[in-house]
Amino acid sequence: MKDEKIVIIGSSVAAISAIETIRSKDKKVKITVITKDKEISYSKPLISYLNISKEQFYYRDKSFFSRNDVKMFISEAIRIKNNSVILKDGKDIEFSKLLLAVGGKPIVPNNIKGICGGNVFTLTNFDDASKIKKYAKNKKSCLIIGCGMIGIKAAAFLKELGLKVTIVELMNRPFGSVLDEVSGKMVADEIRKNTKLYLNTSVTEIREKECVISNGERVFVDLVICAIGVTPNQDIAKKSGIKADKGIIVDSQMMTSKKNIFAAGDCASAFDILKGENRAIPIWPIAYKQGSIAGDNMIGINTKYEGGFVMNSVDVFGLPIITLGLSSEIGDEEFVNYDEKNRKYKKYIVRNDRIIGAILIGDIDRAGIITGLIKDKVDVSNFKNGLLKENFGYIYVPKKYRSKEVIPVEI
Amino acid sequence: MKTLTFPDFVINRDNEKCIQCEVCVRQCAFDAHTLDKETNKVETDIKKCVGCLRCATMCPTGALCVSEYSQKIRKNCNWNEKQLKELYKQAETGGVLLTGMGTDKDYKIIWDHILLDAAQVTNPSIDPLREPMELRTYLGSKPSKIDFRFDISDLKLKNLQKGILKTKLPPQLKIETPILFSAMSYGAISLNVCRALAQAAEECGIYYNTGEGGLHKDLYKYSKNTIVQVASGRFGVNPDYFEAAAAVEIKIGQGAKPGIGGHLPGEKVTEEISQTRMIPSGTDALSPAPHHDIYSIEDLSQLIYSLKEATEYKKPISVKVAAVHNIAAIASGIVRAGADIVAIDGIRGGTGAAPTRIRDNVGIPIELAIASVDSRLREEGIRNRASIIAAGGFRNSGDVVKAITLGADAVYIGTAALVAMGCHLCQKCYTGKCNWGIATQDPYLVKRLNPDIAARRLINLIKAWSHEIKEIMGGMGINAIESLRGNRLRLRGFDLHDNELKILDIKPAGESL
Amino acid sequence: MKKIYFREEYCMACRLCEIACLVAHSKSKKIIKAYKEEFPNLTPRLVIEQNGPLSFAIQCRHCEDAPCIAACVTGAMHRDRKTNAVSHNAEKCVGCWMCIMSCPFGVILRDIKEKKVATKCDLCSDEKILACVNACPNEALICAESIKNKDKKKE
Repeated sequence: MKDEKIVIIGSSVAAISAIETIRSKDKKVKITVITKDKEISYSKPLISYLNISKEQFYYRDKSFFSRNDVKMFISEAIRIKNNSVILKDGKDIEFSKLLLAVGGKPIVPNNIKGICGGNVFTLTNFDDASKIKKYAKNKKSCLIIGCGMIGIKAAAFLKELGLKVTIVELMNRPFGSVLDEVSGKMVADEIRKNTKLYLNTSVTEIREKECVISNGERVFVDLVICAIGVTPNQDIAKKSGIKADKGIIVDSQMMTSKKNIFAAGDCASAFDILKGENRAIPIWPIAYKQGSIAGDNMIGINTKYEGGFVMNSVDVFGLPIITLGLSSEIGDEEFVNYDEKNRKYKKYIVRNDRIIGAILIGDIDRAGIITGLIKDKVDVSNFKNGLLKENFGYIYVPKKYRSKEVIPVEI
Repeated sequence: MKTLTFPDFVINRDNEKCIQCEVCVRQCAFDAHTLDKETNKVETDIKKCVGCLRCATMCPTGALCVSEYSQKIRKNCNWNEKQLKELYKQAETGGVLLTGMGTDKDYKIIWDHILLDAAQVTNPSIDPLREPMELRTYLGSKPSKIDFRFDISDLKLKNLQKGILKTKLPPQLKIETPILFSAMSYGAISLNVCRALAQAAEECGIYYNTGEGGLHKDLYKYSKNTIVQVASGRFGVNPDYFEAAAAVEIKIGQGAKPGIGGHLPGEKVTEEISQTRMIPSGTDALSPAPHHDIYSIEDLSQLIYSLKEATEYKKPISVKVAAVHNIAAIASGIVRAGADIVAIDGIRGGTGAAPTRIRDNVGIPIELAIASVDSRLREEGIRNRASIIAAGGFRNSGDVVKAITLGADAVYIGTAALVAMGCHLCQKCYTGKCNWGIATQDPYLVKRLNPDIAARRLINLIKAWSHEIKEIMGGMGINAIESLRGNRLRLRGFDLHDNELKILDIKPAGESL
Repeated sequence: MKKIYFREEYCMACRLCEIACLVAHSKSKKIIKAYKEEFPNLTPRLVIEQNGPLSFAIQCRHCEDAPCIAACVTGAMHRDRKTNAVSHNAEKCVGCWMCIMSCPFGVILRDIKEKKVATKCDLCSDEKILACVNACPNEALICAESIKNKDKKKE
């Protein structure tokens, strides 16, 4: 492994996790990072938080890369040729193992008139957030296209900046892909306490000071944020002949169709244990895990990625929401507890005696136990009736399924 | 019916210290502490308090103090508070009064009137820390004489000096200290307590006794430290049971309730207990008052020999009786019936459940029973044919030394062992709600006794008493427990009547040899 | 690494461990003072679970492959380089509850009284004795080596 030259494109969580994994086992191997970001090692999910300190904003402290002996290139990688990465400035960087941790890029629909205007923004990185902050000064109102994870964060962000916010969502409920009808309505009501929300509508035209939406209304706005979602960034992969289809396709070792080239994070399409097929799941914990697996495999430690599934934790104006797995699908059995008065909702979707999805709103404590049950595909038939009980906890997990982490030996 | 009785205890809660943590609420199985859901405050109902002190012990701030209920009825030496309470209770229930543990009646404790001797000038005392002290005891029948032979075919001098024992010795129980754990059945006590007793017996080189409740499969591994009982109910008796024992004890009676059988209510007969006792689960486990096949010493002899046959004469057979008026004659009969060990349980012996009147009024004190049995067996020349285990209220090592000096070979301790494990003698064993997790089968309460901790406490107790026994023996100038046994010259009675001195066969304090 | 383990067969749900935990993480570290003066602001770092007679107290397992560290978007949840424990830096935490979502034992708790942050067992970082283990009257909580590590040693 002495002559291994590891190159990583990207500097967010998958890259950092890969570096940490490599450095915990190999202090000597050469690591090079190529990144577009000037503000390195910050946490992307935190870009919309206004009241946090600089310290909180950085995922790892500023010395992370130098401390881990990582060579940095602040540049953009254009494509891969043989065993080299070609940068925008023409430089080429040789590698023996390459990790693509290039993340995702915001989806911007091209069927909206005026979407390319100067008053339209996306919100996925630090630059976006800075631009919006600058632009929003002395502005009065904004419109957000899409009421998903980014949309809601953007809404909170702009509301905090003092703007009047309108959200336009194409589906009949917010978080349409992960919430069901009942919880969707509940969350919509919660959102409406804070912002204006249009459902079943889309934006047809963006003008300088107003937007036209599909129901014909015109909304006066200063700026528009396009928050439909992100899609895996597969530009470099496609240019370089690496197999990619809705994400860079990787095997269980996070290796792409080309040997020595790995991919991890939002850009990668890896195994989804609930769907039973490869797909890109652009969430933080999976990026971290994949980065770590890729790191191991790049230094020759054979580690397998067991697969992941969608999960999300989001705060809608103070109302905590966690969704796990196939939370909007229909199962063989569903266990639902809806407490309208206290704004609490719990739903567990069971298929073949296994939990495949869950929605928790309001009371999200101990949600991780469900995550564990989904991940380990634990047969819940013996205790499914306990799922909604107030004392539900790890104690319901049958002894044979309990993790070895809870069994002691030596006193 | 409105009860006319009044509480036994008061619980004082220091509100300055109480943090409303509800530990007391969760610990009290009698519901003396409850939480008022509306005010979210802990409340106390002193009528329900049994005085087990569990709450006060567990309270993290020491906010609780349980004391005697101070309201007094008019003083009357005949009709005291206890009598009145019992009368009210019976008038309200119409039932036999039940209780647990040994009698709490203010009988004279003769141990406290027997004084031990020490060596001064004319004979030297021994420092047990510097010189070896022998507490090892063998329980079982000893032959009247021993024949040796010398192997003359081997002319080597070394071998000539080594005699070879010709007499076949009856089976013996070897104990490293003359203390054993009394019979306490699984059912009366929890399996965790049985485990603790078994672990401690193994560690200390002594024996525990299963009582009449059979032997749980988990305890088979302690077989070399197990005495199994065969009682009138014959619970759990089967070939494996004998196989898994070092000795078998026939239980005729116990000190707390001589002449009375046992009754384990069906709700305590859990699945595990049902399997161990070999009775249907949920049914009452009834031990008849008599053994229905024993109406004479001859019948007893038949059972003794049946058990000897069943155990191929490899295991000593003990017979346990309560100390009653004719104990000396009874013991003589037992020895003649073939028992290797006679266990005698005095009036202060404990129990899981007994009618109060029986417990408090039937039987005789163990001190007198030991002396009279030992004397009688000596007189009849059969003392060597059986060992005597004394039981019934041994409180400390001083009592043990005195019992052995009166003539016992070893003692059984039950109450003392339970106290070591946490028992606070609230006498509510029969309710099955033991807050200390001892006399209960309630799954919520059984967990409260961690057998590892309980075993450590028992081991400490046995070690401590053994040290003290050695200390006392050293002071007397005796270095082996054998030399102490029946050595009544080293005892003196103090404040005892002539008749008591006569039966104890000891001189009054102040009288020299 | 030694960790805290529960032995459910001896847990009687007295909750003395919880009380000890609260006190150990209070400002005054004095039981009566903590309860009387700081009460609403105390959050235990362990969870006591009960289902019928079965009960146990569970706290952070300090997993080798800790999902909470993977899930934490701020880096607040991290592995302590010295002790190898999973540590939480409340200063960095923004209360996004990703850790709560990912912890399979459900032992990361929300502390929403002062600032919205996650809270978890810190193995009594500033003290030498583990408060909960020390408080357990029945040794239902013990400090021990894990079976996992033992298996590894064998290999």
